[in-house]
Amino acid sequence: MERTTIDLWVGVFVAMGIAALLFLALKVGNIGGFEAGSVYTTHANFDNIGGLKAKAPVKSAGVLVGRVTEIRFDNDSYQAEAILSLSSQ
Amino acid sequence: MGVSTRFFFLLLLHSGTCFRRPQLILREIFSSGVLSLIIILVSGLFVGMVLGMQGYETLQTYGSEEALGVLVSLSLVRELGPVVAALLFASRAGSAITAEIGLMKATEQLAAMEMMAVDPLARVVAPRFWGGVISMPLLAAMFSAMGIFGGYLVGVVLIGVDEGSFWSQMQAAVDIREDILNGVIKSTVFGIAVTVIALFEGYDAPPTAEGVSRATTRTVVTSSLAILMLDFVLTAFMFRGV
Repeated sequence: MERTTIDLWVGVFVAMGIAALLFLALKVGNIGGFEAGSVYTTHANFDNIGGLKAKAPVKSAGVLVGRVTEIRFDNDSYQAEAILSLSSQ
Repeated sequence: MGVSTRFFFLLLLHSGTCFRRPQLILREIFSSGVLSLIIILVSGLFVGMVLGMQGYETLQTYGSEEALGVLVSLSLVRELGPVVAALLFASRAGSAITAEIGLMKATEQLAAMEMMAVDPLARVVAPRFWGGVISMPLLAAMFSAMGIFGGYLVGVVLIGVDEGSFWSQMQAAVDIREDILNGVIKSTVFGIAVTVIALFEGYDAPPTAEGVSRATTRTVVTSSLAILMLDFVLTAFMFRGV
């Protein structure tokens, strides 16, 4: 096959692949979403956290206001301590 | 196993020369990537459509049809995209690589190259390796994107799941680093495995018609097994339910 045709097709192929990756990243994934930067941390103690995991969303009145950054066990109170990053706006 | 490992390191050692001649790699991306486009795109679309249909049937029982986008996108990006694309790539491009190199060996083209002081590893094998390794993640990404589109077609357009919740729940659940990047890593690993197996089988084939045909069969069988086993290992490392 002609060299320029191969170049053209490879170009189209790579462009399509990158477009697919961008589609996955921008449309399917949550790029940006809740940005770090303007956040403050606070913590909350629970007797039982159930199935709560790190990076779970924190919602106030159904609106995303932050995320759970860390979950650890509090040795003094024998409770679970969740560290929350909340948006400071 | 030992011979193939040595072959792999020799291959990496010789790939420096082929980076100085990118035209060779381009040609291989064409033959293993561009020519696999149709099968990847069409099967991605249909896999996504089936996922949409089956997922809807199951989710409907629990009254959570809105999670269809999450189901389709996560299963495609994490597992089905890399794995099925790699299986198709092994049977479409891997077998072609093995047959080509095996025939080159059978017709003594490789020996003739060595006579002319052209290293066949650098001239023939290394460009095919890099062509495959570059094509594979791109093909897997296209497979996933096409599959999500197929799931959208069946779920939203055909069945009538709410479009907004389809996309927004998907965006809330899919993580860039955790899901998409891991999928890309997986498909790159599969690309390396498939092309190394295909190249090694071709290079190692007995130079007879029967030997080449056996090597081609072995390529497809071995690389399919390798993909599925590597997938388990990588999944165990990546998603340990933390």
